[in-house]
Amino acid sequence: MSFPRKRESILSSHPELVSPSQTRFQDLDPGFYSLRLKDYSKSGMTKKHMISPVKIWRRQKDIGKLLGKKGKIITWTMIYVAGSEFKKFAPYPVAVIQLEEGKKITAPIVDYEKGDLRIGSEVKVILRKVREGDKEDVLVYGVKLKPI
Amino acid sequence: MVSLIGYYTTQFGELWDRSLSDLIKEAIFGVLRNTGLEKSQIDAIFFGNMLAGILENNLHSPSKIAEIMGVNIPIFRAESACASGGVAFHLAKNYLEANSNKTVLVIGAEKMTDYSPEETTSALASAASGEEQEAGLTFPGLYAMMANYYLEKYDSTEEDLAYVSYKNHYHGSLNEKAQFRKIVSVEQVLKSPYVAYPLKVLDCCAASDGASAVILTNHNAVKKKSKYSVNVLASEVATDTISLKERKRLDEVLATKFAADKAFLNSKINRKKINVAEVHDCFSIAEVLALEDLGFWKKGEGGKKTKELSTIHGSNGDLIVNTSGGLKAAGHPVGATGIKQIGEIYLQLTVQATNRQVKNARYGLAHNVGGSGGTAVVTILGV
Repeated sequence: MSFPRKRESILSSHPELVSPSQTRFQDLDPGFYSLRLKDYSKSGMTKKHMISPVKIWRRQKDIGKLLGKKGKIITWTMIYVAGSEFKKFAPYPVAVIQLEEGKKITAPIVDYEKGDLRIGSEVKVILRKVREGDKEDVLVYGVKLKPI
Repeated sequence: MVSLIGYYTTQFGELWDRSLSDLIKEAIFGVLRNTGLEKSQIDAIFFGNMLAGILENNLHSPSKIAEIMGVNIPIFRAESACASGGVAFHLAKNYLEANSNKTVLVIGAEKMTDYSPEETTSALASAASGEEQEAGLTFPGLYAMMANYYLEKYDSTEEDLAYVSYKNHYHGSLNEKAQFRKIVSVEQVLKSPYVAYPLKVLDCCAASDGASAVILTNHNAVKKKSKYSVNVLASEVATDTISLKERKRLDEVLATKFAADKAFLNSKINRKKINVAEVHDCFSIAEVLALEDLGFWKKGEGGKKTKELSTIHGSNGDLIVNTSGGLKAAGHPVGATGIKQIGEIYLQLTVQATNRQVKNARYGLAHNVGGSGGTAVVTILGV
């Protein structure tokens, strides 16, 4: 049995399979924490996460293209009860926005005043630290939104 | 025609003394006892569960169920977040349509309360897109964004939404298997702290433990012997984008519309004939959207309609909704919910719903949603 020499992407030979959706497909996959290790050294069963550099690399390729772009808030919420990794930031607002070019993104809002949190408000895409792991982990930068 | 001939559910709640396997065992042997069937009469099992793999490193559930039950039959697990139970039911019905003279057991189960709220919240967030997870969105957060959009667009209020919780807690007070049997006032809902604006603690369902099971058959002899039987007229599944931002509209769950339209078409039942419905009220806004997207109410009317309480047990309304207490008061062990909803409709149609019985209920609908609307299952039962 021999393996094919060249792997062709099925999508390159079948353009009709390419989704018209604007989603960057890496947006679908879960986040930067790839390894879930059990840390028995401290309090028994607390879970310790490690940030995966390869996942950061995969997901950050497109970030540069978004920076500085402007858009409008389509809807938003203020998260009071957060998951484990975001607990220390709560409460924090998150919005779905539509960029002037039509593309939509979902990201937290920072540097805001209460009046900025309303549907239709204008925001700009900025680069911010989004995750902080263990002291040996790489820092993760990503997209956040700032009111204009 | 596939018939549903039996139902059993464990208590829903914080069941610290029972493991996932304990709950599965109780539900399987409970439903066998209720139907008078031997385990040797079961030809296959369909199991709905979401979180065991992620929370307690617990997978290969088919083989675990085989050991619990002492059988060697085919067993399948379905996972579609909070719609895992409904999807398992759908697959079971399809299995029967492809195989004559068979009897299958469908069980949904979940163990959620061994973990901190943060751990459970993070595990549930696995059913959202990566971008949404990285933005720090939670499940309540996703529905809160839909709620905020809806309230602004249709000039509805947080008070309108509070009536969903008021009604479902009243229903929960009538269901001995419900997690919360306490009545809450609209004022209490409004005064509860925010989880994700504009949704408050009492707009949200809780994390629960529980297991529910039903038995489906197309075996003529088994059907004939069954004491309480209803027909499965339709079970339809539809999907949509996982990302909320990619949805066509934020004031509807399109997957619900697709599944409902198909279910009504295939069952040849008019919406007006449905007397009882269990709809997916993981958050108060979700029940409002569900009743609109299922086609019972017009889009945008939901806030006002909710406040009229026409769907509460004891009202003169033509459609009574979530007599089990819904996810809000009955509890939401995510894999079990879809089966409990179908089981509640079965109890209503076979006049076994005791103090929450709806009179002359002939047709019922169960509506189960996964994630923020990425999957929807609509099941129609009739007598």
